[in-house]
Amino acid sequence: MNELRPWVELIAARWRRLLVGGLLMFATVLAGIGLLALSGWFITATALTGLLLAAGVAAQLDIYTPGGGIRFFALARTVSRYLERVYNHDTVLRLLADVRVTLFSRLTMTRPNRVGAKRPADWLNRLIADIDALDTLYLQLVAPPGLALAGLLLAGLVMAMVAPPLIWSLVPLALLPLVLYLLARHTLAPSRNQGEQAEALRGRFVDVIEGNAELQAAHLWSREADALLHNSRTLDNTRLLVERQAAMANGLTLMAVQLASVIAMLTGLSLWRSGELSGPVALLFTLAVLGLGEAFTGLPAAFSRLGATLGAAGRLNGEGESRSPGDSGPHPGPGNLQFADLVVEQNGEALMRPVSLELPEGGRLALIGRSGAGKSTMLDVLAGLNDNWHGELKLAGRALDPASTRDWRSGVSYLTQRTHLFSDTVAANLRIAKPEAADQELNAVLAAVALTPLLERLPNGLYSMIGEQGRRLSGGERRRLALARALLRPSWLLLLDEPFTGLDSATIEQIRVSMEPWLQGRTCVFAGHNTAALPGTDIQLNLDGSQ
Amino acid sequence: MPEPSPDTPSREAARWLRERQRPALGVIRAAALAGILAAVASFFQLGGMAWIAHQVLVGKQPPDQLVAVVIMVLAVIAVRAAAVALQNRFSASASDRIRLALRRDLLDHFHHLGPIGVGQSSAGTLASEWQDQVEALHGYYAHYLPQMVLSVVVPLLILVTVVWLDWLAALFLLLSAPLIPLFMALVGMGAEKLNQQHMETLGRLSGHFLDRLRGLSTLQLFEYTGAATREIAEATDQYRQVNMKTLRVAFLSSAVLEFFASIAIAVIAIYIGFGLLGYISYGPSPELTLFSGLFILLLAPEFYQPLRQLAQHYHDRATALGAAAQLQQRLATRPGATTGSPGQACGNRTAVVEVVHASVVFPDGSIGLEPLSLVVGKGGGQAELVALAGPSGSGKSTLLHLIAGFLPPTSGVVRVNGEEPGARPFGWLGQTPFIRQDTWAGNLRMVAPDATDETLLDALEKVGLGDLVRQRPGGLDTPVNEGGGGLSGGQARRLAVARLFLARYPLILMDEPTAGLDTRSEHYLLEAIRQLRDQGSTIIMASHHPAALAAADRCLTLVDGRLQDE
Repeated sequence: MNELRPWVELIAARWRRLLVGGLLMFATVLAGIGLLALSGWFITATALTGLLLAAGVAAQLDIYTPGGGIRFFALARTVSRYLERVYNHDTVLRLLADVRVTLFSRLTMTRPNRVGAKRPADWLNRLIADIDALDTLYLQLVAPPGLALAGLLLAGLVMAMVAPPLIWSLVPLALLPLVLYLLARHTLAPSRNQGEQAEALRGRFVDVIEGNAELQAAHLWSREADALLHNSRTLDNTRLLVERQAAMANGLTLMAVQLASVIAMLTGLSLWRSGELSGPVALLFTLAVLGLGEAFTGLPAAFSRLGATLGAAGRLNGEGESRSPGDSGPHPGPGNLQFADLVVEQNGEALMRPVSLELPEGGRLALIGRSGAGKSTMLDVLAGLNDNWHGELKLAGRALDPASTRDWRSGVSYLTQRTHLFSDTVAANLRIAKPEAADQELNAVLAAVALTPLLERLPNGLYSMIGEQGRRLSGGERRRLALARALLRPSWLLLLDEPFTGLDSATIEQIRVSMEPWLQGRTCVFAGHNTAALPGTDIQLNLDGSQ
Repeated sequence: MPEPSPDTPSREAARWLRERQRPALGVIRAAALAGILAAVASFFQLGGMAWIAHQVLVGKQPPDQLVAVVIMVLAVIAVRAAAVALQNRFSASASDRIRLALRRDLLDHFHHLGPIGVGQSSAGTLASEWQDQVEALHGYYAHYLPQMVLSVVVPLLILVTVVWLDWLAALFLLLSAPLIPLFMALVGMGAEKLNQQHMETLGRLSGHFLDRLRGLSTLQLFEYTGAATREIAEATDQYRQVNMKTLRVAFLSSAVLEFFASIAIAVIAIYIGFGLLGYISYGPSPELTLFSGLFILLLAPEFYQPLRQLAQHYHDRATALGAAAQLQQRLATRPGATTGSPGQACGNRTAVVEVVHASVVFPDGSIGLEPLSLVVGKGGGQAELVALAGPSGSGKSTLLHLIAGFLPPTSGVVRVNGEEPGARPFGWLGQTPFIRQDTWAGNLRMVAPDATDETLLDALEKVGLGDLVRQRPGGLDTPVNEGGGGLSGGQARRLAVARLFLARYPLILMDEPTAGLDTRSEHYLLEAIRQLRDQGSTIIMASHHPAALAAADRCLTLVDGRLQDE
């Protein structure tokens, strides 16, 4: 249960809203109870009075007050239900924002490459599913037990004041949460892991689909597809187990509520016989207990969701555990970079021959090689994203480990191969690199990457939306916008990975010249297939081992 | 109907949803029956309770004389609880069966589509359909569908019971009965709008959030995370405000339902009360007793209950319709080339691959291959290594797909060892090999179940993975993904080649096997290709790579779907 604590604390920050929402829910239940109970009282009272009248006894019954009460409760129920739904929906949307913001700011503390891990899409899917599970924390997990408890306490209090023996009727309702918990306990462990299981299954499915040519060629597809279905059954069976438990819980809840009302009636009637209660009041309590049942209807779902929610919370708590960089190493700043026998590794194998060279401050290095030769990995090392290397790296003569140097990244601007463009305006995408940049500066950097014609074409210039992942731009325009963003970022070390992908040679020639002012005074490392696809450089390093 | 209905796709999706319930029709009926049984049991319970109250308060009987009725009420409560549990249980297994059948059908469909058809969509899209969209149908089959039946049958049963008790009270219910279809439409419209709005908001919200999550690395590299977090908070709040405006109106429809349910109870209670007092001398009113009055009052809330539950499950329907439209479309996709007439059996059994005047025309009319003839691997037992060269888009992959049987020739004949292509297992090496979430041994024994550990290690040695596996604590029995996020692209491809050594296929097709490889992997791969040929496999390899082309016995060049002269 501890997994939920940070999240419960998070939503508890809005305790006033939660309380008001809870009270509105309670008011709705109370209006329902009032409507039923008063109607029951009214019918019984009129029946008994009617009998007296028929027998010729002069009996009197005020029919206007209860009639008015019944109409009041009918109206109150409608109004409170409406207010409750509107208010709580608003609360849920606010909580949703809280959860997302909290989680996002935690994720930003991780090392960037964690997000680019093996199956980012599967991870993202699972993450979103887990966040969705927590979105309903208040309405589905916290509110129902609270409502049930409040109903139980109020009913107990009223009964204690009017006719204490009636409290016996609350026993089934009081025992219900315990029974439901015992029932749900068996499914807690399996349903906790549903998120991981779904993520693993997705991974297997993608493997089979991507390897489908190979599998069909080898006549192994059917076997792997069967294995996949078999795997999916594990998840299905967990789900079925939870559903069956929920089915049982629904039955038990109904039983508890109905039993409670029968006990209330029998107790009330025997109190009537002993003269401690009037007949109408005896039936008032019977119907009140029946109405109270509404406060318990949310419990089964709450218990059947518990496991999955705990699992989701646990997994989300595990996200964003960061290894914050230590203070070791020199203060990051301009200086000459020395590589001595530097080798980057991947999965226990060296990716390249050892690299030794010196890059003076303000110098430019080109890493040349085919794809797979280790160029991007090398840039990752310099950006502090990859610490899987050995050999020696020195900045201004002092040993350097970019990944564990505090604030290293604040001096680095890095254009990766798959940089992300946000579904926002051109200006907003650029200002990520330099929030205080004036429009003039943005125009200048766009001119440097030959995007001025684009600005003239777009309806709102700098303030035009570029669509999801920049879809409203062409591939070449996207690449140049990303390049402009990297150039704009104030930094002494500039890392550009295949900056000119997807551009025609005429544009490349133009940009090589026009971006020159933006490279002045910076230490630059570029990676590409050949020098023709890169800005001018002083040093070239070919990573293709065989040549 | 003259008016063109704008919701045809959703109507079609609704029909598809009904069709898909076939594997679980019996269970769905059982669920509805259990629900009806629960309703009938509730009549007996409530009637019993009203009877007890009547007998004690009016008939002045001591409660202990009513033990039989009390026992009946308790028994009926047990039946009711059991029936509700069964209803839920049946619904869950119905949905489970339907989803299993659907997932199986999807996999069969992918098999039928073949690698080319499947390759039209990203694996991520297919995964989301196979898992999430199929899952999205659950609420429809498990909750909405049985509730749909109950919301018609249960109010009707209650009406019949109340007519028997007091037809005037039944008239009040009946008066609201014509309103019920209206309610349902109202609820439907309200819920639909609510659902749409909610989904749209969530979608846009998630869109913004997801966009920032996807770009998290970029935000981190630019040290813009603090501002981005604030933006997420602002965007969510903005969407909330917009959403609430619509919701305030949309929630009114459920308030109307609530209003009618409450008012009906109030009206019936007041009518019964006045009747019992003898104020109403019309119709059945004078005959009202505490029993019938209380019974009617207890039944009144149950009259509206199924409808209210249906409204709660309405979003299940909308979710399922969305998913159904997508799944339906997926199952309707066809393989991607024009199929010609099946070629006549021809019997050059000495050649491994024989292509006779085969051409490929794609459904969009573009030409994949001009008619072309080719014989590879002639002369008994002598394996051949043939390279296919040519610029991208020249038809190299199309020719490989043709020989693999992934693509039927539009005209002409393709034979592999005198049989249909793909009739027997062959080797395929693309750029994303299949790696199972399994041990090294499991990944290798897929193709050679009886191979000894030495044989497996030997195959790994040939592709330079021997040392790596030996270093792992469990050797061959170590999961391939253990120790740092899986294999690199080059390692995965080498593992696939090790499998080719074990499988000893007579024919192996390779599509750009060396593209994007690190130096070490490339070295092992080129060496392995030669060894595979020497081991007796005929290899046809599409490649740009000069070293790979140099290793071939024969090099064929394709330009614009035409075979150049050798």
